Amino acid sequence: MIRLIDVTKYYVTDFGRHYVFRNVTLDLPLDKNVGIIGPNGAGKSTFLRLIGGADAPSSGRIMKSGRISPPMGLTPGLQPSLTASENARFAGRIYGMTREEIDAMIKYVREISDIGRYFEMPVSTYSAGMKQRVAFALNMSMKFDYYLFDEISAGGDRAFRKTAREMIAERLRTSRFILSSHDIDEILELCHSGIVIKDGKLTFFEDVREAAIFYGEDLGKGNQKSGKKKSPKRSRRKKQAPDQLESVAAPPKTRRRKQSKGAVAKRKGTTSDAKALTSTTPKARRAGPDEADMTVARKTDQPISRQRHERA
Amino acid sequence: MENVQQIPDLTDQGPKTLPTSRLGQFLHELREGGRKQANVVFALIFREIRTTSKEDNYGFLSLVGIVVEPAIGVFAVAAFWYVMRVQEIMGVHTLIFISVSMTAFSIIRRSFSSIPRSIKSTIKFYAYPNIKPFDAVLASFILEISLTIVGGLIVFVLSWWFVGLSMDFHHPLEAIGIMALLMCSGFGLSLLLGTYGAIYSFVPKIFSRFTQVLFFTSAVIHPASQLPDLAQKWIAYNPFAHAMELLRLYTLRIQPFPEASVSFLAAFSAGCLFLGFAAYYANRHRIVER
Repeated sequence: MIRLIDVTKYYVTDFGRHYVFRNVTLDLPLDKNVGIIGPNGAGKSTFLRLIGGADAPSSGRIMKSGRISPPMGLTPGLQPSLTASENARFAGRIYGMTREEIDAMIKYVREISDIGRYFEMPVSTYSAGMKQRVAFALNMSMKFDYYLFDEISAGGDRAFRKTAREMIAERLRTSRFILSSHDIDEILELCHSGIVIKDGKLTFFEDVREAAIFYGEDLGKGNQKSGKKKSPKRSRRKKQAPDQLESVAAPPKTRRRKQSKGAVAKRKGTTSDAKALTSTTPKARRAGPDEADMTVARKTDQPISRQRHERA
Repeated sequence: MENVQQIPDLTDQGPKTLPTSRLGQFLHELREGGRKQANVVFALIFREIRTTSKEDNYGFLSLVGIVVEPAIGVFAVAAFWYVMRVQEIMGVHTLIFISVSMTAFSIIRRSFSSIPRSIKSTIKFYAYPNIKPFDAVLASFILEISLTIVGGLIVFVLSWWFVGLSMDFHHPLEAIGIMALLMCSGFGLSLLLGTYGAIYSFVPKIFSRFTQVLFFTSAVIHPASQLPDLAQKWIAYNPFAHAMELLRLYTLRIQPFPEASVSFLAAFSAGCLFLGFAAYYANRHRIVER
């Protein structure tokens, strides 16, 4: 159980207090995966850090039972001068594991992260994708009641993302997770309940689809108020939200059946992947294979995500 | 996915039945908390050893440097006195005289310079809910002070083995007590400076320079009782000078200056600990936020 009682969190800035959220009282359900939706800087990561115990609320209390993983995301807690193996050993020692358990854990992390000989090299020599692989494997190498994911799919190549999805699915048999993401499709696919954090307000929805609709409508209103012209993608998302939600919430097999041949080819990477590979930026090419993979992953994400809306 | 069976399950740790009485629950929580804290501090000490030997320009030698630092200081100052044709200070050989105060001063210097930096250097690990900035200071303090004391003991053994000089330690418990008070004040100062050093970057720079001033005003290389009255009056405000004088009294029977007082040193240590913990408690969230 995770219970927030009158929790307020703010940061002191040069312009006064910046409130992430105020007076939140909330019970997170035991048996559901929770997705956190919100724009950049809304406080999704802060919320995860509060729940994970890495940060403390400015006022109020957070009561927790069960073991909660550290928030894993784009800034993993890895010491740059140590190797992945040494970082894993360090994590094992923190949790008071025996030597045998630590050895088993290192073996597991090595297998899952799959970074070859880099595993015994300092983390400072890794690319961003490799760091994320190691951090993910490290967190998955221990069983928790709750896993906290912060933008887990924002990095890593296609193969890693597939492995990550498989592992998450496997771990869902015994554990639950709280996931923050910008990608509403991902949230809809993996979560039961949703939390929307926006403009210093935190709203909980039993049904994740309601959270997505609330977030989508809010976005639309915000744009209209500010007098900005809505982008075609956003306007389409708003109009088609309910259908789109049904389509995305359906099991993956059903969705695949509905797809056109072209869309399937795109999903497999036969068209857009090839385009993306040829159109990889010079910066990514300079950064090495891992960075290039990440660029491909990001580039191919966009068409797939857009394709879902079109399909709906 | 067959490896999943092998991975440690952290969801079912701890005893299945909790004590029913309040005292039992309190003791159980205290024991569990202590066990977790010990695991974290143990892990951080090992990490400190690995990172110090890898990140520092001198590699593993930097750790050896902590051990030999008191010895180098002792031999340098003893050589200075030798050049000045001073072989004995108040009836005690300069080598022994310096080795007592230099070991004690190394604790103070570490508390002012390297130990406070541990809060900032561990900042990446605060994502682990078990690790708090306090643990980083504690781990660094245990490691560095242990190495410093080992270094001091090496100097004593070398002096006795090669030169045949020895101390009578006629009040060993009192000497240990003075060292304990020094360590308490050192830990309090480390916590205080580490906390504010993590928030304001200029703090560690200022205080690492401050140790150079302390070296000459803490009666490390000369007895305070031989200084002019006015100097003695001013030096009496420095609690570390009291520590040096009292330490020499209990180990070498050298009479301290009249103002030397254990209670002043104890009050200063208590004050340092209080300020250190208060500063840490007041800013503990602010450190983690950064």
